[in-house]
Amino acid sequence: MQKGIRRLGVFFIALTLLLVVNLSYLQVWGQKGLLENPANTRRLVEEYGIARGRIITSDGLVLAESVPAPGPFAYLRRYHQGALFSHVLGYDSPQFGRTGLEESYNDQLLGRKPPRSWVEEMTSDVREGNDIYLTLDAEVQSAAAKYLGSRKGAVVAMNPKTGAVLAMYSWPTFDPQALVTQDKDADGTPLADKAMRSYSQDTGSPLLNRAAAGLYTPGSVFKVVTGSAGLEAGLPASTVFDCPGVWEVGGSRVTNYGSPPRSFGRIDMETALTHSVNTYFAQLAVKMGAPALVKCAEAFGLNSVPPLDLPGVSASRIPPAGKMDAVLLAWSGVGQGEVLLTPLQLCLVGCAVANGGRIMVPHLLKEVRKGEAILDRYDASVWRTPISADTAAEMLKMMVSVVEEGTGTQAAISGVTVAGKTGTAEVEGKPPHAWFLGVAPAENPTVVVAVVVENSGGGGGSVAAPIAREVIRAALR
Amino acid sequence: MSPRWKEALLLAVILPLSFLGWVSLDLSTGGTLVAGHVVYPLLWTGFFLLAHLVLRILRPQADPLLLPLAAALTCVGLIVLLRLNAHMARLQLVWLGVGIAAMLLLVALLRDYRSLDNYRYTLAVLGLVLLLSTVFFGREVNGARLWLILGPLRFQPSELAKILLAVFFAAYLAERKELIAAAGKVVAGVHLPRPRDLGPLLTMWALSLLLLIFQRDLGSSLLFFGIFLAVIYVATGRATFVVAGLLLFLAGATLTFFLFGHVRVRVETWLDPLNPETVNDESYQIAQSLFAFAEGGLSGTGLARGSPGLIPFVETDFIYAAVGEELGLLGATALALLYLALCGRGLRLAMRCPDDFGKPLAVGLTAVLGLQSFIIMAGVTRLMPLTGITLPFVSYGGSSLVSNFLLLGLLLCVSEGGGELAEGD
Repeated sequence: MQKGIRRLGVFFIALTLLLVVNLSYLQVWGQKGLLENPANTRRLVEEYGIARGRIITSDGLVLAESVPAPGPFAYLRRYHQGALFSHVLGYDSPQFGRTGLEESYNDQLLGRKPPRSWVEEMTSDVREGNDIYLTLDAEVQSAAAKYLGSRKGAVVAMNPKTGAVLAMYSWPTFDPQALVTQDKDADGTPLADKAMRSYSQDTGSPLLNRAAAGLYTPGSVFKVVTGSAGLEAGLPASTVFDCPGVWEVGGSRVTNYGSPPRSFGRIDMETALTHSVNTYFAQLAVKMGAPALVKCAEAFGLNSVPPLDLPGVSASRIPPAGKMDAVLLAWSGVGQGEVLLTPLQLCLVGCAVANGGRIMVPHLLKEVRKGEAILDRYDASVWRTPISADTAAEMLKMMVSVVEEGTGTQAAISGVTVAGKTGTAEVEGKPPHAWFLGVAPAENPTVVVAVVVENSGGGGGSVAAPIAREVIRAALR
Repeated sequence: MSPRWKEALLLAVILPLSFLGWVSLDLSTGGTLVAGHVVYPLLWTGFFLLAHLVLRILRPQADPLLLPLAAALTCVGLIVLLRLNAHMARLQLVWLGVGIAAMLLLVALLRDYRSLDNYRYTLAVLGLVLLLSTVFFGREVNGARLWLILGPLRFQPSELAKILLAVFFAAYLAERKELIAAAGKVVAGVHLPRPRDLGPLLTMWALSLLLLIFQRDLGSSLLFFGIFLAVIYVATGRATFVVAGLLLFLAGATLTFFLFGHVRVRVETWLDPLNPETVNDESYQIAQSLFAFAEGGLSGTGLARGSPGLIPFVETDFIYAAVGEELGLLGATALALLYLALCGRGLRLAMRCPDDFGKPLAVGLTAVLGLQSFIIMAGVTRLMPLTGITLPFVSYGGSSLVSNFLLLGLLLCVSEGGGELAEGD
């Protein structure tokens, strides 16, 4: 019998070994797969058990906070400003996950960052997150929403010296509260599901943040880039071209605005920018060559994703120099052809001009706070330096002329020197997009505004410039 | 050092752990100590000190490791229960007292365990009646007919029946082992038992199937059959019984797989617990259990920092998943090793036991603990299909706790030898 008992003991040891090997698989090697399984709601229950921090504008308006809720999730988000800040805030929904700042600053809002001391970590659970304060200014944002109104488009306003985003608005918009609610209708269908379905199926794409992700043909606002590229390539502002109403290149025709297309004769760059003369900038682009134009455009940030602290930012596009023939180059020089810009990228171009050639890293976060204590602060830093200080000053001077006597007079504000550039981008088969890029005050710029109104039917000077004017006014108050 | 002093030394190490558990749990729950919770470690310590003192008088030579090991297991169980459900922890504390009292009473009354040999058929009949009672009078709870309900008392008869049947197996096989082992032909080096000696095996097989079919109690079915195989193997030294038994069991299980939906569901959820079609339905429980283990990782989330509440029946069958989540791989492994130590101790005292009844009895009782703990630990970790039984000494449940302490009492009796008669030898 002794032998049998001993063997039974070996059997028990083997069973225990099996158990421990399997446990090690579950808890160590195979852990990741189980944690990431979509059916695993542990993280959700845990995360919605924490009173998430508030999101507050730089002028103290509370945009989002967490309130106790019935049901499996102890806390749910409440958004106080309806659809006004929705594309920046995003949403924090147990069903649909997180987007916007709710996603990019999730760790801060849940109190996981900045890290706590190990004594606190050992003895107390995180029950409350940290508040995040934004660079956004509620008044500037409200002005953007009010003057864009119910027109498809977007507005971005930034402080060029710091990279702080003052306003970022996109229309059509959505109500983040509708996606977060856990209420159900009479049939038991969650209201949030219905809202998500209707937003997703809406042809106006209300969930799209046009300001950072919308790619549009820029039209004449791109002349700021083409002009800067010329200056950088050694073609001074005094460079003169003969500018007829129609300029033929490689069998294609670049035409000026007006019917019939207006002829300007021999003019320099300032006159050309002031009156947005296509035939000047087409010739300028062809003269400097595709490599110079593309190099400068990429230095401004095209073909790369701007490092804004928001998910879902798109890279603006310009075709590689090798793929540009004379026709495409000429059209690219006036912002047509295959060039595509986001309003954010245009704003960054304006920032370089307004800030002595340097683009600061664009950001929405100002600081992370717990109560009164400031735990973390966003430090301004340079993203890139696409143009020299001289080029920037030269370009700014020409843009002042645009608002004073050219196509952008509607952006003028009495007592403030506003610089700007209009754009009316032709799109095939649809009314043109209206653009405006504004900088103020020109002597010492503190605000840059980019506005696009999709398929507006009007020109940049009449449709987009007045919106930029009101946003600048709000920012300079 | 005498056995009782060894026991005292081990208890001196283990008993403070309960206070540590209480402090750790309270600090991580609310950040402050709840004075009222001190009742749990205090009473628990009191119970085991009392048991130790009584053993000093009644069984000075009994095995010194059994009581400390049971103390360690119940300590983990009590603290985890207190974290999961304070009401259940209170009741568990009461049942702990009842269980230890029952154990001491058994130790006091049963001066010589060999006297059980005389009541083998009485015990067997009692065990069978208990088991089958639920078929006729049982109440179905959570898909299995395991409960007898007498007024306010709920009682799970299979917990007690497993001990009674272990005693019967030991008594029956101790007497017949030579007969069963010696007779029969040798064919191609394999010793074949006589057909008539297969009788007990076939009877047990039938009983297991009966449990499986009428009570939907897969866990007990497997457990009873496993105990029987362990005892018959040790008693006869014939591996052919084990092989034949396993083949029979597999055949029976296959049969029920095709005949009964609930068996099929168990197997399917075992093979593919994370199937999106069943993960929120049939396999919800096992999937949540696996998620809990994964959440725990190496060192666990810490007491009260996980979400074991997501697993249905986490306080009973699935308490091992709560241990895995909050105490991690380290805690779960430690618990598994405690069971292994308990089994090792049980087998050691079986080897040292001088008489032919005590040996298989100790083996049977040890097999109850070893197999039951393995079946449920392997079930909740998907090592084998899930079958609902309790984790001995840790799961919430009065019948389970009291039965396991009775089992411990029997092992203590066997470890000391035959009481007064043995002394007279």
